[in-house]
Amino acid sequence: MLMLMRMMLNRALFLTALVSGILLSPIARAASAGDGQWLRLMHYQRGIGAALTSSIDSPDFFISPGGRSDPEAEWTANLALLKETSWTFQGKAVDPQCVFPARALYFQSIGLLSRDHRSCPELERFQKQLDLDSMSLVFSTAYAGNSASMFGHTLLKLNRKNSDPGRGLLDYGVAFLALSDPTDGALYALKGLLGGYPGFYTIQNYYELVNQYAYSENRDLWELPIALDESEKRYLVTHLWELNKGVSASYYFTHVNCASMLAELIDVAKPDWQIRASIKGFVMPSELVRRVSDRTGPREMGFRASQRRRWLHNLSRLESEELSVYRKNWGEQKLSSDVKAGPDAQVLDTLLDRITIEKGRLNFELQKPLRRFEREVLVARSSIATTSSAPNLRGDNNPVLAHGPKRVEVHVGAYDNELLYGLRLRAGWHDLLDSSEGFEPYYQLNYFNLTLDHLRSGKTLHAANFKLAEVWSLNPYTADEHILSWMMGGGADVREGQRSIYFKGAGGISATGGIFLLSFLPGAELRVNLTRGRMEADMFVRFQVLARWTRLFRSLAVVEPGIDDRKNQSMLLSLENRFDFSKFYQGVFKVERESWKYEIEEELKTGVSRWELGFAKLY
Amino acid sequence: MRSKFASLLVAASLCFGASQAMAMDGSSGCGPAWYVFKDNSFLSSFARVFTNGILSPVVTIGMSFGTSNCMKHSLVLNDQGSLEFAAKSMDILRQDMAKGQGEHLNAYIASFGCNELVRPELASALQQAFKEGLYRSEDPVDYVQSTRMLIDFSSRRNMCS
Repeated sequence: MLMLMRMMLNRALFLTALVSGILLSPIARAASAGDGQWLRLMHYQRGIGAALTSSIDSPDFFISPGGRSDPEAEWTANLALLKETSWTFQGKAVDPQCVFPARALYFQSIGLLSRDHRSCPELERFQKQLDLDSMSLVFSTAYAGNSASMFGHTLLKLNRKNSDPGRGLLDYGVAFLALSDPTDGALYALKGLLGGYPGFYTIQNYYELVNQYAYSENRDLWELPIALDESEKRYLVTHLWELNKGVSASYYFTHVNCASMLAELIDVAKPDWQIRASIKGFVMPSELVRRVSDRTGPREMGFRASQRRRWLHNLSRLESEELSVYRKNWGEQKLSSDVKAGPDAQVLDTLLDRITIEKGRLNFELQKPLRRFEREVLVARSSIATTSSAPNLRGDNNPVLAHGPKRVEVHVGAYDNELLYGLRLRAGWHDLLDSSEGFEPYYQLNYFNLTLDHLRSGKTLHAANFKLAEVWSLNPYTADEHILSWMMGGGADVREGQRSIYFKGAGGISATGGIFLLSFLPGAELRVNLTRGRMEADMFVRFQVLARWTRLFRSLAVVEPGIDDRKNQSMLLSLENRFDFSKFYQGVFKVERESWKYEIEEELKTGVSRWELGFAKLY
Repeated sequence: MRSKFASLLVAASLCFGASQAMAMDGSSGCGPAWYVFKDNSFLSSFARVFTNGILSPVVTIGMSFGTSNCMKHSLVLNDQGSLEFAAKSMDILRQDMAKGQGEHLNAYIASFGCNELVRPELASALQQAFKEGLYRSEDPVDYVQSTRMLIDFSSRRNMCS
């Protein structure tokens, strides 16, 4: 019954709107057709075929029945509605201007709606509660141990007026989050990719977001401040009010995600910036930060170190004797009598950091023994008066400084003394030989990576390799942190005239020493040979050394012996060097030798050598 | 300085008595905050990449549950913001209290309306109270009541709203 009444009311409003539309002045109707601020307030985006459709798909967000894809009808219906003083919304009689105050503000700004004050006590409480002064775009970096999270995450921090630095945690945070269903299991990723989950704007206490990202998930937070004038503040707060009524949009990992929806929100406050329109295709969180940073100009960014970064910092400051005490107590998860007798703040703080990290990995039941240990440490720590101030940590993963994700490379060289030339295209994102500035230093994540090679004498392509995705996680294994390294990837290639689909995976350990990162990764490759119509399996052991000689110059040396399912042995030796001419251009020099030894014909040895010199652009 | 400190300790002892009484009035439904519901398995974290930023219904319910009882508590109605902060940041707040410093402790004191100048002094007082055993429980209601009393008994209470 309610639904029926609502439909009838909507239709009546629509008809009224049509009549008002016809009677509107030509100026007003011209404004309605494609006014930028109107399109932004309704989250209209150009889809395939250049049609405008709103990212929001909640029916309650629109007044006109077809308003989601008809900005003109929606504009007209809204104008008519906002002139009314009473309307039924979600089962309650309300003043429409109190439900859609940003839209009212817009119509007032173009002179089509009277500026008469309407009493909206709930809205006023909301505005008072936010007490907005400025905002910060916050970037959450990848979380520890998982290179697949390298895309990061973004949220908005709403900075209150008169907020001193100590009150920063008491501000509010806005995020666009997908409401997932934990029972979905393997469908989880697929639904996230294909719009299977509704996404919502949420307004939370900022400390809840800090607790989750920096403490529970060990992700650093970068905060880019954005100043707002009075009009911008009014639009942002009133539009948040409109969105804070259960408004949802189908979540797509690629283009309706945390970054794209924040871009749409920022555009409402900063109409001249046109952030959302400036990012085509896949909207990545770090890309959003870079676009906003381009518009704010150089700014000192705030930084909140993750729990893990704080722990590593404290650990690095321990003297060798303190380190032994720390390891002994952590290993036994019990405070030794000498620590109880003469507690050391540095050791205890490092233990508390480590306990917090470990708790983040366990559910509450499994945390209980650890919590008993934590109580002991806390009691001991409380007996030491604090004298030093908290360290001012900075990370080297500032997203503003990161290189662009796309890469195009041309190269020339020789393949067994024959001239070779080729092309490499990468849609994203970052590999170990790229500058690690703005990224996690031990992660690599590449997708849609195509390599094409041609020999001068060849009539067809000599080789082609399309890597669908390849992920590397090479966190060093240390005495204090037992993290394993791994890689996985897959794609399709053409080699020696054979067409195959392949999947590759490896797991092992890595270690660092100065500028070097050494990895030992035994693994396997499964290959579906389409030319021969059979499955093939290889096993290999990869030793690699990454050297970051300077900020601009890096090398990767690889030794990879392998054996296939017919006991044929192989050996790959390669050395690739990459030099940054700037943030956008790279030079590449690579030498490689691949050889095979066949079990059946022991004397037969064969192999190929190649080298290449390349030039790449990142954007 | 010594007498000021002594008065804070007296306040702390008074609070301790009050908190023991409180523990029996059924207000312990304030949950232990953000560590309770957690799924940090490799699979889940990998899958999360494709739904970057998740509003998990389990966590949301957990958080609401974590403070729902606290919010109804009449004695802390005036300090609801502080109570919510304590309930949702309990693990980090306890560590900061034991250390007598930290961003969460600073924000917690600020949530009582205390200005910048008085916060270091109150942070030290809270560390001392922690040492005395005042903040060993994990009930945020106890925390907030005790802290409010500590502030009210402090000679610097005019620097807090």
